Amino acid sequence: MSSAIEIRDVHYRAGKAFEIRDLALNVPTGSMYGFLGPNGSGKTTTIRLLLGLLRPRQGIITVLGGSIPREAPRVLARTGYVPELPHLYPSLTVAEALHFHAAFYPTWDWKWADELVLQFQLDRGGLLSRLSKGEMGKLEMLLALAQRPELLVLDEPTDGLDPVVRRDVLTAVLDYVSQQNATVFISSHLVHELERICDWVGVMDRGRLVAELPMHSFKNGIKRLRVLNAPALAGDTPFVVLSRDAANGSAETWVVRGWQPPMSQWFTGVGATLKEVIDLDLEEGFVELLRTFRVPQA
Amino acid sequence: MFRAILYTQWKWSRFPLLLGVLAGFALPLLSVQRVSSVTGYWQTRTMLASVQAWGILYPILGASLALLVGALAWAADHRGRHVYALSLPVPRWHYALLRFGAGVVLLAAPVMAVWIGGILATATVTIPTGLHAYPTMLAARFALAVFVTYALFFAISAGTVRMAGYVLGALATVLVVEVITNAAGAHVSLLENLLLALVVWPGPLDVLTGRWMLIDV
Amino acid sequence: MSDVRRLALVALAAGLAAAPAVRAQTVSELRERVRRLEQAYFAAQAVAAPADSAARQSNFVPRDSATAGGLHVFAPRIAVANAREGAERAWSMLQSIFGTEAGILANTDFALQLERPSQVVAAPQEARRFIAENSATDIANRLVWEASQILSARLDRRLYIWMGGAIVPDPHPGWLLRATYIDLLSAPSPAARRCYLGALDGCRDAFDLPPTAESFRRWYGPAERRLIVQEIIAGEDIQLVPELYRDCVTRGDDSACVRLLQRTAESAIPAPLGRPMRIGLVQFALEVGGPGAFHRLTAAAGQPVDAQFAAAADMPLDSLLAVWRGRVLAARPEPVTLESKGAWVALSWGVIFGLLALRSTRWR
Repeated sequence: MSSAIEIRDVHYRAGKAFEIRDLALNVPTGSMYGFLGPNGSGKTTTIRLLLGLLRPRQGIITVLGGSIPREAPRVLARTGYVPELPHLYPSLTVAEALHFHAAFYPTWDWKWADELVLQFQLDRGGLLSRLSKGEMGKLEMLLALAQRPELLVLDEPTDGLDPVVRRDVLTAVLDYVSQQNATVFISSHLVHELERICDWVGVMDRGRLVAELPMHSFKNGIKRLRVLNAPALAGDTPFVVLSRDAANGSAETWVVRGWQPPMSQWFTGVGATLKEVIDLDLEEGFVELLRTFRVPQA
Repeated sequence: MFRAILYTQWKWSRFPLLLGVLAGFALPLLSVQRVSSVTGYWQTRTMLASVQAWGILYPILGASLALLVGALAWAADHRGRHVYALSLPVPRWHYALLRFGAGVVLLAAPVMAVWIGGILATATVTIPTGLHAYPTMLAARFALAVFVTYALFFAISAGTVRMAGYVLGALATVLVVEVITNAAGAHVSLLENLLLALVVWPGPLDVLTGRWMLIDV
Repeated sequence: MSDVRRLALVALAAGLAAAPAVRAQTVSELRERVRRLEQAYFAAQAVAAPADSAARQSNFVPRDSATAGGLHVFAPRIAVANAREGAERAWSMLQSIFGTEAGILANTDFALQLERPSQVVAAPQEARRFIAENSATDIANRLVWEASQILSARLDRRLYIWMGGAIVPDPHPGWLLRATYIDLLSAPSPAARRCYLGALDGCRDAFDLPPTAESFRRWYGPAERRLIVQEIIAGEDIQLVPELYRDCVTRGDDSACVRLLQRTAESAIPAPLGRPMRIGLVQFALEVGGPGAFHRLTAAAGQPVDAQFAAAADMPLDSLLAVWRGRVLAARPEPVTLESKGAWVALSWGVIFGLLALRSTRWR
């Protein structure tokens, strides 16, 4: 399986307060990679590193086969980027912004750009400084899509947008991916949003990659178990116990990772009874994952 | 690509540029306006005095335009912390060259205005024997002055905040050293020498100094 | 406190004491005040000189002496090397203008008083003291000036008045020729313009040669006289005769203008070719006349001023003026436009700054 983005042993430090350490990340070509993490976890910094906007202290970054930052211009020509904050020139109109952007991309598709302008209901003569947050978000997405990129890097693209605009934006991305088989790297702290569209997920926290796995493994592998007469010490378990909480009486609630149905046998072996296996959604799993990541550090 | 850059820069600096074109066109005409009302033997002296007095405004106009166009070339990128510019698929030097070139092209307009204004102005007055009109040379000098000051301000503006801090820090250090040494009784004029190095030949701003004569001997 | 500053303070105090209450005064009253102030100044100087002399004696530093040609200079030891070099340069310049006559300077001693650090040397009472920086160039320039005063004092009185000052050799005479070119070209005088265009009588008129009582008549026509009254000398004296002023300026009556100019001090009327140009012409005559020219000039004392010129230059006045005019026209200043050297330097700076800008870092 080839990689659209490959990051190895990257170290970056911004001031004294924040650093990214030993970052290793792999985005398969053609995947939709959800990049999760709480605010300030290092998602935007990682994105800027992989686009060559920041220079790592050490490590290797390869995007679309090109080394970053050395080959950044060549890579950027094939990459659509929607930043976290609007970055376009506010004194331009929508039409002027389109013309400016198009001039830099040989693969720019005017026909599709025009369709997207209509679809997003953007006023060509409107000044960027007067666009609403939603309109600006749609314009940024339009610019990224109309250049027909092989890789879309979206940094919190729907943050702060109303549900209708969010749906429009994500639909446009999905349409594009279905047509082009492009790779999408999308960061967000809105877990539900990624759950529906991503097939890979990476989780960042405090400058480190906590987990990176296919979405189905992530969603299916984390369970909440209701256990009666649980042993005081769990000992060797075939799964990873993320947390144990006392419920009422002799009942306990466990959150585990790497669960598979045959593992229920283990409880019988230790004299406990597995009463119930509950599926967790992505957000609950995400929260539990972060909780276990942070506990040892605390 | 260049046209796109040129267009944005035109949009950002069109008001100062239009004013500059207007002023550049008007300056030569105004400098000879008073002369046309003077006749006889006073005309030569009046013409030289008037042209010399108005001549002060050419370097001021040129430097002001260069400062504005140079600073405005980067202002929008500074506001966006350069994220957009850096995410475009061109090497940084190429992007800077495009912006630099666009500014030079735009500044050609006021230079042309000075040239055309100079030709018109000298065509509308009778130049006394012994004096000659130099509209082309004046415009060429104006062009050079604008080019040098634009390049200087463009380079300063292209720098990072950290670089600006280093430069200001160096200046502050020079100032402090000068104050301390002077307080200690030694006569040191570092700032004065620095300024002189800038404005005296072969300093970069030497082209701004001296007399700017549309009409001269 | 330095002697100069003390002297100035004494003179100022004396002047203030003598000054009546500030009020509107006529020119003649002002002239009388200037005369009284001058008297007070000289009185103060007479008091201050012995005091300065006494003060100097107590501050004398060890001296040495430097000699070059006819120049003999007493100088503080720390400045003697510069004094020697300065005297050599000065002697060379003096000889170029005054020729063999410069030899009379051997009768005078000069004493250098250093400006920074302030140092005075003991010297004979009759020695001419001069103040200079401790540099050969400054010493040479000041020495030339002092010596020129001594030599120019030998000139005919009328010639000296016509020149308006002493002949001081200039190490860079080019600027005077260029300034003369500008004045000849731009002076609002028909005479100067005629001279510029090649008429030698115009040159004589512009220089007022031979000197006449009402030189302004030679210099300016009716239109220029009117403008001179209106723009240059419209002072208090003229306001005393408002009817003449009105007739001259408003009605354009030239006879009124002439009468007003007759009432005006001669020095207040601008000459088309002023004092530096006149001195420059005498210097030129000396240069053309060769080493014996200054001797001939002093020997011709008592003759008309133009005859003195002819004697110095050893040629008729018109011939001298023709050669002088040719030299002035040849010294036409470069128009203040664009030198190719400056253009290349400016272009290079622009390219350097441009290249620096291209190094604008992407790491922000």
